Amino acid sequence: MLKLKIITPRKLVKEIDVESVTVPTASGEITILQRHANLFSLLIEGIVKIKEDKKEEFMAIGGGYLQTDGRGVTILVSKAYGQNDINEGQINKAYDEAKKIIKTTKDQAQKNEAVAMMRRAIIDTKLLKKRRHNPL
Amino acid sequence: MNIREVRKKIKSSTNVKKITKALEMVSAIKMRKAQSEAIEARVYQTNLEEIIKKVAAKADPKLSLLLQTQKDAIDRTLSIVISTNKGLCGSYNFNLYRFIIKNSQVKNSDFIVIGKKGGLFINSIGGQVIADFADNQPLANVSAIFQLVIDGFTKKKYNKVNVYYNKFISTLKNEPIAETILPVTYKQEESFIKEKIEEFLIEPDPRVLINQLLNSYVEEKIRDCLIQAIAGEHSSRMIAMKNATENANDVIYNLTLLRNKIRQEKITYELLDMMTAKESVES
Repeated sequence: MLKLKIITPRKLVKEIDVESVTVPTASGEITILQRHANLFSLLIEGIVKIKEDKKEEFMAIGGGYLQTDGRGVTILVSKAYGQNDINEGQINKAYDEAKKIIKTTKDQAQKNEAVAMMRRAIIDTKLLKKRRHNPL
Repeated sequence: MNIREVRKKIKSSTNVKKITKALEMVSAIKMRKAQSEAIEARVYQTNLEEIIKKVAAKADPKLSLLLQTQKDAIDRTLSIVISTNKGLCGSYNFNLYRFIIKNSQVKNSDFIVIGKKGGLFINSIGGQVIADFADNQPLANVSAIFQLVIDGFTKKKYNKVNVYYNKFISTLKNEPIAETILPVTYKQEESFIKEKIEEFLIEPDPRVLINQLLNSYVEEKIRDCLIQAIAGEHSSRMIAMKNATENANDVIYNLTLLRNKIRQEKITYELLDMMTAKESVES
């Protein structure tokens, strides 16, 4: 069993024993099992898959860091939330808004922000879709 | 003082007491919230610090700009001063002011102020304010402040960045301190390094990673200072208001005594008058 800790600047989001955890790193998606080599890696925005016994759980994360020593995994991220914390209507709205901004604006900074917003929305929709495939 | 004046004073003291009592309760709630936030935020901070110690202990200081003072940087300090927007919090701000006057070279610094009170103070001592973040939600500004700080440091405008704030120690105590956030320094115990540092795979590239890590470390540090300062502000205000309420109680008590005394005096005089009148009639 791996000791998983997901921490955001606001609070300790999760602290459980898991079988494996799959995370999006800067150089690709990796899965960490027990007795993984000592690793320190950069995480990018995406979805974390947490596997406990027979249960699977998904969480969306912002960018951050991962550290493991084969016994425990510590994930430090800017934000982390589960499937129950988001709703589809809001995501679609955010997506449309971002699309509109990208089309209309000429300001580069604003554009970058909109692209980031869009990326978030896409990740969130992916997260929601996961639930339909894997009802807990 | 006549009795009417005394009554008026009692009334106004009672009103003051009501207000301070209400402020005390509001601050107590805010304090509890801020304190639990401060405690919860600490988990992230300690974990991040641990990782940095493990990873950066072996890293070359040349790997990142943030680890050392640059030789050709201008000898000037950037100071972030965290104060409050509102008053009525006892000696909270004044302790900080005194500390700043004592410990910083005002002439050789630029200031970023968070909170209205600090801005007024820095202006009054003739400091150069380059940015003023007097917002009701200071935590929303952390990334903007961080950008400003990083830019100033990497463009060699400053060779040092300090934060001045009141560190929250307990409800009854906060202490003004100065923390150097750039260049990044961390406490290292020699034995810790020798024992605990194992080989770590670092992905994707140590150079990229360390820069990122140090960046978020600095940002978190600023946020941490802010959270601590907020917790300190509310607890300090609560204590100040509690003292004010107690003082109002004392004042009301003494005034009530005075009122009764005056009333009694009046009655005695009236009685005396009647007695003398009666006696003069009888004789």
